[in-house]
Amino acid sequence: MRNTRRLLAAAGALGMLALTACGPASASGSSGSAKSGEINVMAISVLQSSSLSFPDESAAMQANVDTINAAGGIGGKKINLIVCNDQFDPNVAAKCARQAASDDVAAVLEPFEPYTEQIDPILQAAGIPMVYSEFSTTTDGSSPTAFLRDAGVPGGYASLGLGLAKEGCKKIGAVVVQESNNLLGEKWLANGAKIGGVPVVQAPVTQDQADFSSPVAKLASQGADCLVPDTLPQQGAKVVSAAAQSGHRLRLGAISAEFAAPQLAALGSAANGMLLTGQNYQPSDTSVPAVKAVLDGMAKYSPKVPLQDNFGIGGWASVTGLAEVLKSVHGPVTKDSVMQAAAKASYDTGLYASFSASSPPPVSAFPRAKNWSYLTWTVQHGKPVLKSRRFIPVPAGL
Amino acid sequence: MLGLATGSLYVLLALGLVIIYRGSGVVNFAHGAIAMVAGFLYWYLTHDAGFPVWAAVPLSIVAAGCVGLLIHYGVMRPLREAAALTRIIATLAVMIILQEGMALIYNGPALVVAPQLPTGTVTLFGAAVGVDKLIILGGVLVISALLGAFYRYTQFGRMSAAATQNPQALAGLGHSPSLVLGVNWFIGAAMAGAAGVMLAPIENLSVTDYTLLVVPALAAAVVGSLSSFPLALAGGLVIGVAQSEVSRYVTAPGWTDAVPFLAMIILLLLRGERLTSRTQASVRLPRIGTGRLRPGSIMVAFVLGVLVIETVSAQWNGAITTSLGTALIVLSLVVVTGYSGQLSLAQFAMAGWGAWIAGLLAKSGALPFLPAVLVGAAATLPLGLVVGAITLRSRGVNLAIVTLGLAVALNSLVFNNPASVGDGTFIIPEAKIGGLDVGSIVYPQRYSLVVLIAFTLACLAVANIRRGRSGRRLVAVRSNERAAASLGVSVKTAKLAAFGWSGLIAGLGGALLAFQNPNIDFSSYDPLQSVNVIGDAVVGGIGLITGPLAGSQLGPGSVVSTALDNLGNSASLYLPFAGGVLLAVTLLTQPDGIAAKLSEQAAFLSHHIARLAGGHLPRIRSKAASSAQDASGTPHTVPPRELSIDSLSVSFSGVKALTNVGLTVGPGEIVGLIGPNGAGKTTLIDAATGFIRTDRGRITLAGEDITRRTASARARRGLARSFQSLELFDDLTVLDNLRTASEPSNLGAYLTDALWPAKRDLTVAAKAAVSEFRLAGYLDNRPSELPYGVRRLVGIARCVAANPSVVALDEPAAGLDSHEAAELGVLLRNLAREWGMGILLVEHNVELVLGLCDRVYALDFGHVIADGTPGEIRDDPAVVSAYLGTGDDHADDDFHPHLADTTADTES
Repeated sequence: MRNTRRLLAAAGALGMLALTACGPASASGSSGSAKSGEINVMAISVLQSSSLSFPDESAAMQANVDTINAAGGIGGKKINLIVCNDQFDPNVAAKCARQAASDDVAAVLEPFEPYTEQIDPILQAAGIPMVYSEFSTTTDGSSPTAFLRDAGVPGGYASLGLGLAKEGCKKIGAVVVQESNNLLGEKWLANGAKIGGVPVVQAPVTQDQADFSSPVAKLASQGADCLVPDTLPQQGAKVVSAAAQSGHRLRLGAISAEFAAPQLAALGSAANGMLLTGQNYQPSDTSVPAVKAVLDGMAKYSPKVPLQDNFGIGGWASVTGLAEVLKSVHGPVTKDSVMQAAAKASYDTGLYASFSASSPPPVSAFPRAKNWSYLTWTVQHGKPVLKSRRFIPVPAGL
Repeated sequence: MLGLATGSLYVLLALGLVIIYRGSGVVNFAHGAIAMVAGFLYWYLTHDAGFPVWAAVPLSIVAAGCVGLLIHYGVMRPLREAAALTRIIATLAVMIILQEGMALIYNGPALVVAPQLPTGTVTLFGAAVGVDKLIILGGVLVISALLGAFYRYTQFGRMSAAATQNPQALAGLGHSPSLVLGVNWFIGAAMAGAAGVMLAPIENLSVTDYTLLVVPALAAAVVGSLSSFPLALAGGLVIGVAQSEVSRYVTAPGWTDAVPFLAMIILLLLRGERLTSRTQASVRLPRIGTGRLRPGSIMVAFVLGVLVIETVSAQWNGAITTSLGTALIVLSLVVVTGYSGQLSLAQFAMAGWGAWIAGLLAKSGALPFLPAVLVGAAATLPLGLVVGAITLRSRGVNLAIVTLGLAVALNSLVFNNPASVGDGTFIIPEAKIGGLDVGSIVYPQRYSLVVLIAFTLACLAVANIRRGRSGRRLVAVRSNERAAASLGVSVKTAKLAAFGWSGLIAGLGGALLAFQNPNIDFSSYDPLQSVNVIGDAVVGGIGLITGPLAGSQLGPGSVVSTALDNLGNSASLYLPFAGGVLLAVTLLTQPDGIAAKLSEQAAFLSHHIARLAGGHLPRIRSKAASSAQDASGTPHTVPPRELSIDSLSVSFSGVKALTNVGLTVGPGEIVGLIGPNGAGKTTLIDAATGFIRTDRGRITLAGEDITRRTASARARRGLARSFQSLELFDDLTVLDNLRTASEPSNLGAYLTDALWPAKRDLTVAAKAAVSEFRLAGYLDNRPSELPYGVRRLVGIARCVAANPSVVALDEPAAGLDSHEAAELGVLLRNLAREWGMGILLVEHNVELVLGLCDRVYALDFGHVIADGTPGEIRDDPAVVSAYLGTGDDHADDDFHPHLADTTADTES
């Protein structure tokens, strides 16, 4: 009797599972429902996994959506943001893209998505635009449905090379993590430094490198006077610590995405003088009106999640960029009308440099990346200090 | 100097590993995860809770120790009787629980922890070294010395050794083995906690980094055989220095990660064991299936799968493809771990290898989709063989460690090496089969069908292997390597074959998973996935072909994960954690897995329905069992060969076990060997049959010198043996036990069984053994279902089924009553007189020996003290003095008259 009950319970559970499977994909919270008068958009990103998590990114996106909807939405229609966490897995990322296609969303936002190589073909086949997305992989750079907000890793490292050269570096040493989906940051670092006449040397490290003393010592022995970590986010601080203990005076430089605010604060004096470059303002740039708007919006709609890194800023900006496109749509908001509008839009979110989708790309290798302009900071006492609020365009010949 | 600093980090973790292994016999794969938890707790206490450093450090260390206690009492103690394989997997379950649990609690960026130690720099031997690292280096030197002294010279240290080697004896002395083990877990885990706290400012805190730090720490511990603190210290420092030198002089990426793996390989090759020792008892392993095919059920399941694929949306097709591709990789574990008992933590790495080869071929345009996938799978077979060859001299925990090291090395040398996989763009053409587009972008249903077909065919192949000769050999090796070798099964070849097949299946799964997307992302083939897939296999049922379907649902992107996503954003985030908990619960309560439980329920349901219908399900007798019975009474003789042992000497660590022992066993002769306990009787059998090395002497069989032959080679030449402790293959039926012994041992079966296992009747010798030992009614039973006396007979019948010319029987009458012993005597007499088999009989039942044997040798302290006829031996003063006692002791022995009658019967 007891075994029969167990069997029936198991059969019941299986049946419920089958029902959820057979039900429409959009029948639940994560996939959203297309109510009349709503604009369905999906955000696909690494939000939470055991390896990488950016909780403020989705919080910032939702806070901005809530802000916009509270003000009446776009053309009287509210935005329904469907968030799909790819769990830092390429198959889940592809699943999110398929869900976007089956839900027939009007647009996809990708504030930080390392698996666009898996996602782009699915969205291209479905004709869904990726609006104001991060430049994550080389596919993005030429995808006809990608409308990029920045130049991603290539832009970040190119500007770092340029910046360090301007700061007077004689030779740049790059600690480079070996990983399969590296957008060759060290190559663009060298490209940027080359314009300033500065050579770059490299020391490879592995993803689970325990100690960075040896690679740093190796770079110093090769004459590097400036040091750059081109590593996983959790490794940058280890490079800084190793540099501090190397016995050499090494000027540090990094892209702003390498260090979250708490990490810089914890590094303290070890990071003093480090040059940061990036393509968007940081949460610490509170004198910038757009940043203040983000902080106010987060405080109002997502008070429990602190804004602590670029990913939150990127999340907020992606919604703002989307809103600018939606405002220029005439008639029904569909993926086709959004695609057309995105191709002609001018983007001015206040968080990234403004640019027009129709302007020529500064770097011909990546025709979809129109914005390569950057900002610089110097770290002092654990905080990045913005050197100038003006975005610096990259020179020709990059 | 820099390398020493790095090495000291490894030593810090390695010392705790050694403590736990010494104190509990378990390698704690969760060691790095415990360190991680302590690190996070330390950060929380100092950063959020406002504790001073001097309080937060000991609190964190003690908390880690408490985690160790929880692990011991909650997981390891209930599994104390379980196989070593199960206990290793239990530590993997703990690792997953701790890691995924912490990922749910803390989901932010890596934490930078303020240092507790001075971070200045000193220059030593031309190198600038952090003061904190020097302090750690000094600390590990002191701690190693203290631990070594503590465990060597204190009573607790001796009790710890006793608790792992002989807990019953320790209990008999009035000490609680469980308490001793618990204290060691506390100390070892506290050491992990200390490592976590001290490493936090150097390594920074992230959920996954510490887990893989355990690989070089394990390598350091392996240098010390997981038992020596000084050697673990030396090992860690050497590995650190080697990595530092490699990173300085080798520019090709990934080789620093390969250093610990290479160190382990070299050590294990130099040190490894040939066969399991006498002391390694047979314990219950997870249940394995029979491989029997039910065509109707397979067809129904396949058609159902096709219907589901055609019906659901693209999103669900992706989930089905991911589930089936993962299930293929899990299926590879059914072969290598389920069937052959070898724990491999490299399966996902092998899947990645298959994906890489297939991807290279497709990307370059050399081959289209399907041939590329097949070649990729085939190319993983040699990788499996290489892994198998490297690990031949390892088993149990050493095997797990080496394969994990391999996964780490492959991850660094291949999957994250831009020279191998490019700069992140590994775009492959859309999949087509003969012009038909089956790419998952536009035709996700078709791609799912392709994977479904591949999975079905792979399951059929694995079922064929299980039913065939090769499957019986694998299971025999899993159950009992010594017994398998004694029957002529080449343990080495069986293990290699298991790894080869598993590589092929994993490679197929990896390639199909990879081709699901237009760009292959190799970062997903990281070492931790190989750990997760073990958990999937165990939860699903590591010995059952249906197990992978259940187990593959625990990963991201699976059908269950997708269903949970539909319930809400965060539901599927709990799946990895739930998977770890489920793995632990499965090991504790249902070690055979979900598939086994469902199979039991299905069988119950069938019987229940049959009963309701007023009938009962007949017990189906296998055709082979029926065929074996039909051949009763068939006369049989064996090739006549004489066994000759000449001047044999054996010693263990300087202790002489045998000195100049010689004897002969001729065709049809029964030669007895008697002596007190410790005289060397079993040692002589072990030496004669190839299970231990001899120092001096010569062993010939029919004039051929077999002194240097392996055990299985001697068995194939006609010298078999039985064991004191039965050592039957508990996972096989009696029929399959006999088949394993009697079937030809050629390699062809390993190649052909996957396609279709040849149906063979029992050999003449095996049928004769069935008849002689009256086992016809027991052929479809497993040994555990049989009375003890019948199991004894099965053990001997199994030897005899191998058709040996000479058989060495080690205490065959142990545990039998006088009636059963007498019947055994009759059987042995028949084997000698009618079959012409030579028998070397070791027995404590002196009357059986003296009544049965043609000649008897008496051993004492490794020397032959007498040899002659039974009558001469009975009256020999040396034998009486050493063993038999005075004649008055045996005056009223009831056995004499019975044996006399029996002897008369057989000679008439």
